[in-house]
Amino acid sequence: MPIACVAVPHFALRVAALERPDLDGAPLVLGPPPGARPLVADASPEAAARGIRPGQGLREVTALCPAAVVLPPHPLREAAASRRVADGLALLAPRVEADPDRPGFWYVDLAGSDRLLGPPPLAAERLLATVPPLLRPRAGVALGKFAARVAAGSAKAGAVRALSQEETLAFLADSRVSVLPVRPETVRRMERLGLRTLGDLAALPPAAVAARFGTEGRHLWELARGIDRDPVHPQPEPETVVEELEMPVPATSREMLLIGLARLAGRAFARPSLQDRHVRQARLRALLEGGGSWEQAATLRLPGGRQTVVEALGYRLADLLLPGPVERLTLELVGIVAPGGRQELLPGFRARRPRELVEAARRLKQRYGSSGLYMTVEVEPWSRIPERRLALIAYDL
Amino acid sequence: MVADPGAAPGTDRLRPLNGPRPVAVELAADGRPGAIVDRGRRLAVAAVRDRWLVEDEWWREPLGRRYLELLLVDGSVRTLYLDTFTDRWYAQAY
Repeated sequence: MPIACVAVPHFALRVAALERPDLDGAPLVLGPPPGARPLVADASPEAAARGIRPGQGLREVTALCPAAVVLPPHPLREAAASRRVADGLALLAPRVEADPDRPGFWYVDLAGSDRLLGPPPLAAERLLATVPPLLRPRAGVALGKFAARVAAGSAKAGAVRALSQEETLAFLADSRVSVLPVRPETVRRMERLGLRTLGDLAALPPAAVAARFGTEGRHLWELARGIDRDPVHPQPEPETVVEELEMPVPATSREMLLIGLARLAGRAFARPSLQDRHVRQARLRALLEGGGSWEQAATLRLPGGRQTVVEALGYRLADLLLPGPVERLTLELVGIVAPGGRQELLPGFRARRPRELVEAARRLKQRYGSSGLYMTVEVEPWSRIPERRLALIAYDL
Repeated sequence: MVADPGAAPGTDRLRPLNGPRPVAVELAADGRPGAIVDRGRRLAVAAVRDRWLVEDEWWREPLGRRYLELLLVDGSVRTLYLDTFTDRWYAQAY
């Protein structure tokens, strides 16, 4: 079953170059996400040629290469670009999987595509043609996902590296163990044991590898021998609910974000598709003034409702240092399920808002589309700019 | 930049309160406000009771406002500001 892997190494940096072609060829450095230590997350080949490596401090970058351009991560832009690439590939071959652990890697099942796309190497070239050249894509073709990925990693930009069944074992044998899908600690352990290439690993008895590295070791040994039964898993379209909120003025305070979050959650859970439903995961995305973006995700231990989502994401906002004013907030709710057992309010606990008013707002909204009721909330009561202190929001949460 | 205070609120937006409202100001010979024209009414200024400067947001879109608290001849008090970037006057409670 031939599989093609289309790869865009340094994906976040290439997406930035796609948006700003003047950056193409410049030494690009990917900075840390907001709030993280100021370390290099990724470096383009041009930056690596000047000695810049992931994990270095950003101060060192300036010293090593004053011309380096440090770009902040832009998860919104990268997710959108990844979707566009996957959609483009799916137009030619329907079974496409984006590697969940490696942004910028997609696997395409070429089984049965001969008549439409030609033999696998030609099919991979056609797949490559769907990806913008500024992303510097390349492709690998092999009989398994792992070998196809390693082959793609060895190909030059714009080229296809196709491996026949006979070539695969020799090709993998020369590859370093760092290409294995394991944590860096495992790779270091292997190197300490003298296992530098996949050939070294494949030459060991499988029982010895399993004894040292457990069941994961057995799987890694099989990969090193070119045994890879993992099929391409096309992503099912998850049922999601997305709500957006334009901030009236770019928000610079956490309090304003919390108000926006509460508003978004209220609107999302008012939708018919979420009536009496819970969600498993919530993502809050912020589009920043000047084009940057930022994302926080909360995967709930148990599926939860509106209040749980607001609390979980609000907790993540507690220590957040905003990298810039927020222009738009987006809340995405994924994994919609029926609620499990739910504890009702204990006697003596009452909703803080009069039940009658909530009911009246609901009826007005049903009849007119909007309740027309608003309430005043403090946004930035300390602000020196009067119109930033108070705001009205619709009373139909 | 000043948001349009007359914009429809819309149910899906936060609507800021106490937005600035454009007013016309007639300056006296000494450069101080002599009268304001607000909603078609002309009111002479009796005295300037206070003045202060707000400069903020220099990191994105600089904002400069020279606020004046004016005592008008009818005894009322109004707070105006001059946008130092556009040279336009606005009324806004502070």
